[in-house]
Amino acid sequence: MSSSPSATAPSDALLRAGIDRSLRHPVMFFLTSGAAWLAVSILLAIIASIKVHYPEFMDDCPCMSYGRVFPAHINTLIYGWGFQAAFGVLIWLMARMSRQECRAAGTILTAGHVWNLAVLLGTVGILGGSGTGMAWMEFPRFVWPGLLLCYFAIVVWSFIQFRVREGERSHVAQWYLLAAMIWFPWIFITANVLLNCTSGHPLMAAAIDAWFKSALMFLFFIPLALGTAYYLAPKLTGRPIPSATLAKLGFWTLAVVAPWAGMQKLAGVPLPVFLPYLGAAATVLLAVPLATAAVNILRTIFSSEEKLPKSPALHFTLAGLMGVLLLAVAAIALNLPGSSLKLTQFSISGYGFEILAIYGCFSFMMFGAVYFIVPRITCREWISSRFINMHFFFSAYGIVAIVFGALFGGFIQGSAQEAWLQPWETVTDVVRPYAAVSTFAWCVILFSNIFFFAHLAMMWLGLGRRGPAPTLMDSPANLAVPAAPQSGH
Amino acid sequence: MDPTRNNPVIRFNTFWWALWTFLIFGVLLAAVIVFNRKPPTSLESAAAVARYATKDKVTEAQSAALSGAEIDAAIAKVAATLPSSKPAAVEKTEQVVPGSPTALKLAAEPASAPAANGAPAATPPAQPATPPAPPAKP
Repeated sequence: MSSSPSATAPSDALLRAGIDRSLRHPVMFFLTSGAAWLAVSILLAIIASIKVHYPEFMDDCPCMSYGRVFPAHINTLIYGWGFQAAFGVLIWLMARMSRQECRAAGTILTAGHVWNLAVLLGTVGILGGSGTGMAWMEFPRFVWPGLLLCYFAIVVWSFIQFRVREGERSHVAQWYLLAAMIWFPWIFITANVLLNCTSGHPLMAAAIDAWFKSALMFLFFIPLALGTAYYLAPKLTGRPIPSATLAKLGFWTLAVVAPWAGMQKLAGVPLPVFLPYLGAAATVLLAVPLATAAVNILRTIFSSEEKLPKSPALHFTLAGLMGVLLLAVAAIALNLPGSSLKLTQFSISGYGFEILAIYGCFSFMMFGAVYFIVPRITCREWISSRFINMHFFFSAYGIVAIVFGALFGGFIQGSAQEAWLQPWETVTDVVRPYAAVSTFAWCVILFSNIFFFAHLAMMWLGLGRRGPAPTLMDSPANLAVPAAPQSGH
Repeated sequence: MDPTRNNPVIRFNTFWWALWTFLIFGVLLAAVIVFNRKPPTSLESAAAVARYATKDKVTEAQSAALSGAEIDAAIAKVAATLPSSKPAAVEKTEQVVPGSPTALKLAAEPASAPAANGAPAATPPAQPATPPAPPAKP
């Protein structure tokens, strides 16, 4: 391949257009249905949060009891939104970076529909009282094989694209994406086989479940988020990643450390005592890969500060990276055996940590990717920068309120639990204000995501703006009135 | 770009390699479980066998119980027959209202007569035993 740049530019553009066209419907399907599930999940989060500070709310309806609504909220957030956003972004990024068109869009789309059906059945099962009671795996037992088959049918094509990619070298983003693609079935099969197909001790089931939660966060969602950021930051700023050594260090420390984390939540239970301590040490050490990757990408972004105030994708990516740094700090602060762990082990700070990972880091990166990918595959620009602004600021303020409320509220709750001379009502009393803040913050996030979903659906329907200039966050022209949709493609 | 790499054979092989890679951990885990299946050796494992047997019994009993939907259906069915049925007094001689004609009639019967249908005897209950008087103090 020795053609001149002027000769390769049109063929490059054609290739990219071909890739985008081949993935248009699968990607838009995953992103839009994921956004719809996100709205459902947030609605369930609001109900669950209200019930913490006002237990009489909807108490005459068994399917709306806290024990059903809260798992439904978490599972729709993970399998409804998280995985579908991950699929949409993963298949597009891998095709683009491997420079291969997708040849199995129909299969992927079919598997996507089946995935949605499985999530729907699982959610109805949880609300109907058939949940398994194992955190993040509450869907009824018949659901997980279906999810696994759909996962294979969606992701295997990206594996092939990577294998037949152009050139021998691979991008650091591809390492993270490929690793997440392989790690997830290992985690999912291991946990489900051990918990659903064998009869182990219930205590070990709790330990496996705690490991599964941590592994899903740090071996699937976080690698996907970091891989996406490693792709977007240089693309949007036009600057290279400053340090290949830091990139390798961040990737390999994550691969080595993350599988050991998770069991610190069982400190004090009759397990071999090294397991919780190993989990605590690994979770604290996770700060290294998280901070390494975040600093490396942030250096790329801040090397081109003039582009920062304009790009919505960069805004969301930057916010997600701040979330990664906060996650690194929280991983240390919440999991120190002997000091903080006993205060956070049975408090709402664990929920704050999970929401920070899934929403504050992963989802923000996915939003950034959505704002980058959708105009390319629909050949339209985003309709309204006002919608984007509202989505960004309401989401950011909302998630900051939830995460800080849950983290600090968890410490105060843990302190109240330790004060054993006080009546137990004190514990619930001190949590009540934080739960009220959480309810309000989820309402704010729901408001922001209604704009996101509507915006995304309009883009898929071909109602996006046609024009040479992209929709930027601080563009006064776009802040005025949304442009009228134009016909044709 | 290596032009020989992107061909149907490599794509086909990679498809199976990918599936194998996804599944290998599960296959290894299944092999470990199957080849390590032993009879219980510890006290805890032996206790677990009895615990799971009890759990199976409870699950079986619970599944044999009437479901809420069946009870709801039965309530509707019984409720539909109630307006057409004629109320009838239920004779229960073991439940006698004090001072009622039945009570007086039973009281008038000889005390030695055996109680019919398990009804309580009309004889008055025995007085509680009185404690013996304490000895006089000197």
